[in-house]
Amino acid sequence: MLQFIANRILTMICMTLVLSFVCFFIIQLPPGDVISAYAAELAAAGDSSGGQMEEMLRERYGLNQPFIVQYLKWLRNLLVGDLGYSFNLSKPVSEIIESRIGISLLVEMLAITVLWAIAVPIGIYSAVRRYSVGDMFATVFGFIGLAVPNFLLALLIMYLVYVFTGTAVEGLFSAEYANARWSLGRILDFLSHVWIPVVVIATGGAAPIIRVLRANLLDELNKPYVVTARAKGMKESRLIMRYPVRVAMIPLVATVGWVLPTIISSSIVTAIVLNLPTLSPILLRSLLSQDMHLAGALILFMGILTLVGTLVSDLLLAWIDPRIRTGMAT
Amino acid sequence: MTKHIGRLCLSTAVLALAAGAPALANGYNQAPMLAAKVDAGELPPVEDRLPAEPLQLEAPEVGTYGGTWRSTLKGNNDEGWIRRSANYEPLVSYTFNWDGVVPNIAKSWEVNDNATEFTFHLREGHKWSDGTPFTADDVVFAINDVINSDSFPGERPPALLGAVATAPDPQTVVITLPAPHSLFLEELASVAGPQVVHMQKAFCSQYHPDYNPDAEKNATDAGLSGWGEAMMLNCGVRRNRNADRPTLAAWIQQVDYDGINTPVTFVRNPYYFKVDQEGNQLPYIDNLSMTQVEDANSIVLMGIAGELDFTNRHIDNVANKPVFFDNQEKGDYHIYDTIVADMNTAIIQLNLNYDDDGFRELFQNKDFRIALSHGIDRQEIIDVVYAGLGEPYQAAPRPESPFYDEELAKQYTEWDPDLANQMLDDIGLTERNGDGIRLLPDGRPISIRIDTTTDLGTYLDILELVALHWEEIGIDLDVRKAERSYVYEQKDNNQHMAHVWKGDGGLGDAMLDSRYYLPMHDESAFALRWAMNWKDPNNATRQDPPEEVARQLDLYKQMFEAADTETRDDLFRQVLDITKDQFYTIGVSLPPKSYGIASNSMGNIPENQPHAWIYPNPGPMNTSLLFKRQ
Repeated sequence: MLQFIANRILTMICMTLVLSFVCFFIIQLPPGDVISAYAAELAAAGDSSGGQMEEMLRERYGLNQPFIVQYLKWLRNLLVGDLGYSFNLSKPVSEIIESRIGISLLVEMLAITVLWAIAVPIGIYSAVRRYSVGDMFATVFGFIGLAVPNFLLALLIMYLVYVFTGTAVEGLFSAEYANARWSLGRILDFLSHVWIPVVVIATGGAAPIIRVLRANLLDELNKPYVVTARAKGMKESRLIMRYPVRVAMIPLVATVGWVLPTIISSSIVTAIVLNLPTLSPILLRSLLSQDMHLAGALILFMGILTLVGTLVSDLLLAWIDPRIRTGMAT
Repeated sequence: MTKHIGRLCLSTAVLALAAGAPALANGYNQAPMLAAKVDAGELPPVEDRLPAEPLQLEAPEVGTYGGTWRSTLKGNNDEGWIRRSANYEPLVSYTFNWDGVVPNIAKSWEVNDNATEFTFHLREGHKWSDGTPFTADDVVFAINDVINSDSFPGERPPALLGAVATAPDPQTVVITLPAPHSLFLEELASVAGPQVVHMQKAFCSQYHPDYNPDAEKNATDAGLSGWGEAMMLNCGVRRNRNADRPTLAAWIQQVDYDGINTPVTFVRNPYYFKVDQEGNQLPYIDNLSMTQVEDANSIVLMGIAGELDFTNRHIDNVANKPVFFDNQEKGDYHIYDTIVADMNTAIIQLNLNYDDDGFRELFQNKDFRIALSHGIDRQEIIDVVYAGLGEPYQAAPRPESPFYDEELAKQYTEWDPDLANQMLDDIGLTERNGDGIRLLPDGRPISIRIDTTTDLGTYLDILELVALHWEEIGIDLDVRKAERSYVYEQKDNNQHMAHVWKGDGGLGDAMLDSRYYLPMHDESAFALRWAMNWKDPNNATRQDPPEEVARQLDLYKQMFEAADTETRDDLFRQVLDITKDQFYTIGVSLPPKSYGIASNSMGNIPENQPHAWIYPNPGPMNTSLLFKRQ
């Protein structure tokens, strides 16, 4: 087991290095750089471009250096824990991530909890009561949730709330609480805003979980061990939860680790439409403005989260599925 | 011609400025939130906070104190809105109509005879928002130590480069320019101008190596490129990242504008130097709240939900107007008009310096250009592209401008294909090919290629109609869509046959940005080689212009050296007379008015205010006069 983990971690380190190169390379691909993107943004807003500033900053930030030199510099700083500096936000990258990671985590965890709390019971129900009215209903709505893009759903909810209440629901806080400290009022205010992204993210993700769980469970339900247990008079609910559901969850558990990187990326468009103060809009902004250090750090961070998530999934699988545990030992 | 500007509701506000502030017998009034602080002993009384001679404004309606002005910032580089709304406090300010300059932070000024030395008088007792005196020293620091340092990448008003400031006494600043500049005051009043009075020396000098030996090290330790960037971030008008900077503006920023904090909030400056006609210290409004959004559609949604009090930023396009119009009642707001400073929707420029001999000689023939102008059905373009809004117009100052010349604006704008055909025949272009296209004397068809950028769609709509119109007079306009950088590369290398762009320089920017009135600018695409005579006489691509054009350039130069505004304006009219005679470019139509949205609870909303980049709408209206009705 320990050796298994050690092996995985070694592979992860190599993967991270490759990943860092690839993401730095991709961010550099489009023509221009962070300075010209900044100038273009100013110009689009009707402001004069300030050409004198451009050359000076480009020189000073070393943006005229060859790609590989820039990359190695960045990597060296990363190794000593310096994530670099965001030109676009004029702040150290670590400070930016720090200021937003908490709220991102909170929203995403809420959404995922709600997602699983809705999807797993429905999946089980759909399998056990196959072709019942409830199953049909869950299937239809699951597919609608899957088919409608998240941002569209977000726009729709915003529009409906506007039509019925005349207010614009945006962000996670009202203006009066936005820069305030946590208090009961702020929590209530937060809850009155957060339900929209939670509902949007949950409905979008529920359908695949329902379908996978349903299909796997259907396979299991007719297996001889279930029939035997049932014949021996085992209580139905206990029987299903303890054995077939556990097996049916395996493919879902295998992907549970992928939830981690979604903390940053899952709901980019939703977050922008809804104006959420999370890391997602920052990631998009940094990519659009070719803000190397910020975008690089965020993408690398996502990559590392994916790798860690995969490791977590493997460990969970080993715990849930004895066959894998045995495979590791040998 | 009616002068639209006559209906300006705030025009009186600026007329009263020059009169200075008569001492008010019954003293000054202040906001309740400040009065409470004075009573608690946290603030000196209002008389001690105001300068000895506050700037008195004539409010269209005397307002009430309190309330919050809500608006938005898009992304993290939208400091333009902060500069326009809260921070437009230059030394001298544009008038509301953009037809002159009036006192603002400086109470008066003198100019020497050859427009090289400008003396400004500051207000005695004028204080920064932290209560310390604002003196000539602060201005000298800004001009000599920061703006004129090549290490400073922030806003460096071009007119101030090479200028030297001195402070004979704490209330007097003398700025000496390296060359005469009769438009220097206009430059100081422009959007770049506030940088001069944006920097409290006591606070900002901590970022300057001459005053703080560690400044450079502190900056690089913080991950910045050097002290200049630290100065820009903390004390520049361009990036308002430090809320601790003391200010002279009506409101004090409360949190850094860093793309993370939302909303960016402001609270009233107890030391603000303006009062209304009843002696009430301004501003009326207590707080500003700018919500940071990611997407312009969020602004629209907040707007129709009545959650914005006064803005035109990012939303004032034709597509949004019906949405705002339909929801006015529900959102309890209304639409107000603004005047776009551009004088034309599209200026078609044939390249008079084109390298090909046959076409260049044709383009330089004024009758050819007149014929083409008569060949455009402008009313159809206005109806199809601009929903009937606008009027046929050439490259000429707008009707609101003091330089408006009806003949210049309207010459050759009637659609008359018969006359156009006749003129082209008279030039000798009688031969045609099988498609009915006229031929050059050397036998080539007259096919004019014009590349236009795809990101600005209306040029394409306009040119496609022009191409249809010109087909009738036997001229082929070959309209091509191209990426913007390609179009610019062609133009910058003089490879373009023709070019199209909107009409800048229609209002108060006419004299500074005269790109269509004479060849003087990178964007004078009709004659870039002649323009070199003005902007870069040593450039190898420079060509001698014809005699009349040379005379025009000379008049333009004299204009900058003029000692008084009357002579200056008169010289500019002479420049425009030559523009009229030369008829360099072909204009299409006057752009329709633009708009913004304002809550019905906001008072003193400006109607028909000009809107441009260097005139930072709504700043020159004095936003401190806005108020919230109770």
